[in-house]
Amino acid sequence: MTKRRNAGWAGGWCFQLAFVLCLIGSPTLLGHTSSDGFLVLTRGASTLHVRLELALRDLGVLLPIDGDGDGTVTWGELKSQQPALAAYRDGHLQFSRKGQPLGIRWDSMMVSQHTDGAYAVWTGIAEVDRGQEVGIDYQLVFEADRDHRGLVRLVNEVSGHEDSAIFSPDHPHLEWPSLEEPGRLRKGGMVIEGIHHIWTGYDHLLFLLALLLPSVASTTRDGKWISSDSLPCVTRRVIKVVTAFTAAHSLTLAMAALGWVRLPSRGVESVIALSVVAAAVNNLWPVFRGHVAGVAFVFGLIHGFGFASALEDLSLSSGALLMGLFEFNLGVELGQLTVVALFLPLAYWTRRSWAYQRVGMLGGSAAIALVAGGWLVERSFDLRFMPF
Amino acid sequence: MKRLRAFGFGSGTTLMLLLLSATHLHGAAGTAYIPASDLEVLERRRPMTPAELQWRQRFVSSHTISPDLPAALQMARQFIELSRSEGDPRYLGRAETVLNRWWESKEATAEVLLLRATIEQGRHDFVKALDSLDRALQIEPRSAGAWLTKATIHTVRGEYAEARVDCLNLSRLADPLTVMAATAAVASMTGSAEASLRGLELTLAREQSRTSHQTLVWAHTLAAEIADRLGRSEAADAHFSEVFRIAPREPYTLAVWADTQLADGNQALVVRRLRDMTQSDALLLRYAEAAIQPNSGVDKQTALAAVIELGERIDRAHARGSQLHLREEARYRLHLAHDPAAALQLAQANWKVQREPVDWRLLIEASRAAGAKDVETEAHAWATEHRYEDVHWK
Repeated sequence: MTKRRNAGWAGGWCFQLAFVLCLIGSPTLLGHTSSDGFLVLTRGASTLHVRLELALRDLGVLLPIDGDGDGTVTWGELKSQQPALAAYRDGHLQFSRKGQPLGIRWDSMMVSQHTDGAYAVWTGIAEVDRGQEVGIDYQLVFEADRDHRGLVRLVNEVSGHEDSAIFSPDHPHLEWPSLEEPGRLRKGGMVIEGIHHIWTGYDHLLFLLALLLPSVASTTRDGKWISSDSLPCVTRRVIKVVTAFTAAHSLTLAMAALGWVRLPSRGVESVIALSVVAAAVNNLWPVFRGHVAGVAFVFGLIHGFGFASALEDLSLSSGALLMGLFEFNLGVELGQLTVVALFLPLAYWTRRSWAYQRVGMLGGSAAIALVAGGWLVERSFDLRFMPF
Repeated sequence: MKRLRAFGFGSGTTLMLLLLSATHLHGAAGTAYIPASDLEVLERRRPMTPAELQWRQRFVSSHTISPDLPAALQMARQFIELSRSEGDPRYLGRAETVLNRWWESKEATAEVLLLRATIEQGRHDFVKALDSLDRALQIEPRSAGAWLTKATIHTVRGEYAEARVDCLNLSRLADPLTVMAATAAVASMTGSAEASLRGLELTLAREQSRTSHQTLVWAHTLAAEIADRLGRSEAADAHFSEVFRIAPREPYTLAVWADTQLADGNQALVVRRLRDMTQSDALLLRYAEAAIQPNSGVDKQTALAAVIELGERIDRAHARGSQLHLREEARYRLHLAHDPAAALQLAQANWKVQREPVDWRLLIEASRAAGAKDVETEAHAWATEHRYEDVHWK
């Protein structure tokens, strides 16, 4: 027994012990510059830019990039391996879109110097709609070093937002969701966008107000406004105007959003300003008479194109567009109804007063006409002088 | 920029710093270019070792060669040894990959599990390493390597009772100096520093000629550390010189030695010795700590370049989610970035993982700098409880 024990430490285990000893205390002596690959993905409205950097030290164990094996790697040696390197890259870094492989158009290889040595650099590009999900499968270097990590930076150029993630042998896959902010779509956030747009889009608000101001009154034959009496009558008139406006702008909003009709935005904006002027002037010198609803419809058509450009700014993908369109429009109507709900009782209650007839109706309309006239000039001649 | 301002230099220096960091970060970001000439050398390293060539062969010949177990063990051992001598953690990953086929499988031999534990220990994954060692010992209860590794991990973690049991198990399986050193490592932390040093020196004198170089390096380094804690600087110097005679570039010993020299104000000496050893983070840290002192003989720009490089390495470790750097980062924050609050937090987190003398000193120093009296009191209570001796830090 004793003999065996002695043989134990004198013989077989001796090498092992020496080996174990050589590592005692060693952990902290390792450098931090572990094996890392750097991937930067930048997504714009319709493109995906890829930049990949891999250390020559990592590539060196996978491919004979040091041709003469002398320990130095020259650009010539690296370049001669370019096809093999590209094949390795394409076999181990794959992109997909809707489960289908997504091809990257790679530029030719470059190099970069980091503090821990030289890296091979590739940049490439692919067309990707911002509404699409992009899958990334990173298997580079893992087969030679399970401790390799792919450090990926995801840059969303549309929102300016940046994210990062780490690829490891256990987590080699990543789905980069559509660039549309999911919160906005999921929680009916587009409704809020619609409300927000009507409340802060002063031109639509003023147009509506200009149409509604005379709703508690009606014109006499000689072209004067007189206050009307019954609430049902007033309400009916308001509903007619609002419905006409809504029907018209919903129609053109849908047509523009779906890409069926496209109008130059400056022209649209100018006509919107003109519509506000017209509605306000009509309150001072009634021209449209009993045709206010018709006017609301005709000008509503052009306002719809205005809403469409606001919707476009929210950059929805074609997939999310229909739902977004519906929600956005719903928001616009809700915002509009709130304005009506606030306006109608107040106007009805004060309709006979001097304040309403002179200050509200005449003064207000004149002010609206002035402001909208300013917009009209600004927008038609592409100037900037209005404070809002 | 915050990091730079923290040094508290004048505005002229700050400008120089900004320029320096701009060029440096530029380099780190890796600006891509196409070299002008085919002859341009991109990277200069030592030629590949047999293990590396063998490893590469596997991939070049379309991944068909898969090493059998003896070959895999041999390659893994070579990679682990390279990870230490080169200070490059890549080799630990390669060692793991070589062994991966047997790593989780039921047929994992005691040897595979011991190597696995070694790799896990190298990554400070002490809990996993202890688990692998227990599995190895179930298969081969007489594995001296497994008992020794267990004793070391338990000592590092401050689990001295467990470490003593490991040493008892080791005592009948290993050579006298190994057993003495493993035992002294525990005993010197728990009130018997004097006796440990005496025992080590006696065994060293008796076994010197019969012991492997690695064991001698370990035993002398341990003796130097104990002597230093006892305030016997001459004895410590003698043991350090013994190590450097056998292995002049031994990274672990150099780090311990550098700490004693920094404490004695021998910055220039540290700089001279560590100048070309800075691929290891622990040595870059000590180099930078020495270099920024006025008596180091290093110009300010070089010193700051070292500080910035260390900061970059730490940032990169963060980026990959590595936990290896707590000790170095705490010292970096304390001595180089002058952020005692952050240093204290890191030192406390580090203390939860490892409890070697250097970690205890770091905790005391950081708590003093941050004015955290309660932490300092706790650290002293720990020292009293275990009868830890250290003349430099009372």
